[in-house]
Amino acid sequence: MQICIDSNQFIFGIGGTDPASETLMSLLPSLEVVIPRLVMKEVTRNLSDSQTKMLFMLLNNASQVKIVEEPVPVEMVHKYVSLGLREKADAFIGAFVEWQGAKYLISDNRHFLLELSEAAFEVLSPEEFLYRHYHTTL
Amino acid sequence: MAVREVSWKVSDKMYDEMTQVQKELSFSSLKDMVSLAVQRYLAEIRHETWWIDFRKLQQQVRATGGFKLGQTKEEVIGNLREQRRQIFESDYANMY
Repeated sequence: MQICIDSNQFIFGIGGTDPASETLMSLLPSLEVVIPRLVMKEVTRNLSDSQTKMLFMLLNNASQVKIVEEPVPVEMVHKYVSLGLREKADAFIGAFVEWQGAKYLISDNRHFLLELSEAAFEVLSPEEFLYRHYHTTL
Repeated sequence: MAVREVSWKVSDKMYDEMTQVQKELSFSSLKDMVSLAVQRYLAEIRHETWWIDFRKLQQQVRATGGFKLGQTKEEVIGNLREQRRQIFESDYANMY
């Protein structure tokens, strides 16, 4: 099962400010994850050069984590704008998740849930994901 | 796939323990059980090493004062959304 992880999860997990996001990070080596380059740019913008290097080393050592460089097809981004994600950057992420065939987008960004009328994937908080797949509550 | 034959000597006690576990877990052969056990053990060690490195990254971030994205979860998410919008505008908007 493939999932996509939003930038806020990396920030909360690395920052150690949210137990569920931190647990999600601890599971990275055993999860099949796709991440758009845009999300990596958001995360690394908040890290120093040496911290960025460490993060990429960690992601390289998580064998099933894939950072996708290719641009999302234009028509799919437009589709997600019409599905309710008015902010194009959010539509880009929504389109990416469907394009990659990921089952879940793990995010604490409630705009995805509030604005998205229907999608080919589910938006889950890290707590929901952990409960659903590991029967863990934090 | 290349294979290598290995012959091991184990104590009677260890052998009894292994065959007992093999029965309990319904492994068709000791070889299959040992192979899986070794693979799982190696995966655990790798996972532990990975987690130790992740903790080092956390410590580095903490040592530099943490992320300066806000006090509350909502503030952090709001600032990240703004950063996403800015990066999208500068790097992707021309494509969409």
